[in-house]
Amino acid sequence: MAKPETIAKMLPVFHEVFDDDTLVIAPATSAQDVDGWDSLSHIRLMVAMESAFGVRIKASEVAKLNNVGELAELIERKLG
Amino acid sequence: MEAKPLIASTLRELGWIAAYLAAALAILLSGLSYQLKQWLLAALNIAGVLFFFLSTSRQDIVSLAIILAAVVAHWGLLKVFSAYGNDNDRIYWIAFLFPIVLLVALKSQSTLHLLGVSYLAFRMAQTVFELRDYSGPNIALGEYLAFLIFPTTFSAGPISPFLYYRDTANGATVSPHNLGYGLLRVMVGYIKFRFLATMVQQLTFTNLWIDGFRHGHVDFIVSGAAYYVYLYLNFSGYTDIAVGLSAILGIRVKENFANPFSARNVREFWQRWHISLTEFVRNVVFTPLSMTLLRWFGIRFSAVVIVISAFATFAVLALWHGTEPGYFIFYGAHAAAFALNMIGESELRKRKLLRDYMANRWIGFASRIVTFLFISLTFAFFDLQSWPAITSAFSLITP
Repeated sequence: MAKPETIAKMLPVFHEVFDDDTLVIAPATSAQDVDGWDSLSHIRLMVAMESAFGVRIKASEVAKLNNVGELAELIERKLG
Repeated sequence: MEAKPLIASTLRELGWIAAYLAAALAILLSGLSYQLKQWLLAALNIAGVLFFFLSTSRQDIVSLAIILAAVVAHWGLLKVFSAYGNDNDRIYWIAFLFPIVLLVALKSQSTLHLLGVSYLAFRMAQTVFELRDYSGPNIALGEYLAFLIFPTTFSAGPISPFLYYRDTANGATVSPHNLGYGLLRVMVGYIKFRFLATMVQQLTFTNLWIDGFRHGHVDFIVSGAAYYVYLYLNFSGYTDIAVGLSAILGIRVKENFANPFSARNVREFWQRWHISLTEFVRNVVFTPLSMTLLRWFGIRFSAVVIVISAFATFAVLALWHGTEPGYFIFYGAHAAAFALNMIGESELRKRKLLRDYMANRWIGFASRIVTFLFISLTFAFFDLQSWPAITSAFSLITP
């Protein structure tokens, strides 16, 4: 289960990547819920998350993530 | 070919396919263990590939022996990769690149019979992905051989995942429903592949433009469109047959086409056309390259990254087909359209117009027509391939 503080730290990254300061995210938020969350935005999101959290996400991990919660959990695992 | 020999050869072909299916069904429905079934299927599949696609000539036997040796060697690499918990980057790259290097090496010589080698290499490389991404199924040699040498997907794909095979190649999914579905798909595919594609082919450059007459500009588009439709009927018909024959055995195979003519842009076209190859190249080239470039340039330079990644990805696809200029014109135009579409949608999203743009039926209708014409036009170059053919086609256009 993703920690709320991780999700909170992810929010500004979502705002930057999707150019939308009104965007609200939750662990269950997926690509279907966000306008323009396509394959390239997904890659941009991963790279922006890497910068924000100081972690490295592998290309192989990119395709496996289904929602915000899974991304948060992946980041938490990498942060140890 | 005259009608009688065509009917006779078709019936003979169908008879041998039925014999293969009966033998495979007998193995799948037997009470043997999964692994024993896989070894028997592997033996049957090797015999099937030799019979359907190769011959008993020395050249073909050597080709098959090299393929089998490569599969065994790759299986060994997968075992080593699994032993390291599927997380060792160095072994991952060795296991991933092994089939690709083998493919390039085999393609650079001309004495062996190489039918199916590209798809074999891609399936092997994709299995390495699957091992890494899905915590690795422990693959036995028998099932790896049976999967890679499966005659229905051997010569022209789809690049179906190993896990699809593992989940369904045990006989448990053989059913009257799958049998009926499979027969229907085979029938539809056969009609598309054998008859409709052949009819439409009469309008392609190879046939329409070599009649010795000059042609109007419209004929250029007609020939391009005909080639687009012909290629769809031919290739999707083959896929229907592959999916259908596999379904008869209860084995799931990845779909390769999803109504490409309804694509509203080039990007969507590639989500609907030769899907298994597109996904493979996206995973192998586009995603890793985009991530690397975005790390270097930063996400503010996404547009530059899209352009570079799109051209690199489509260049790989062009090279896979060959070095003829027609392929590079086709894929170069698609890379440009792909990048423009991605950048355009990104700009619309920033201006909060993307949802309205996508929902507008008139824009959708017009986009589909423009996309169809663009793809038809670019397929004209794909069909013509060489400079002499391209310049000759243009010289036949009425001024």
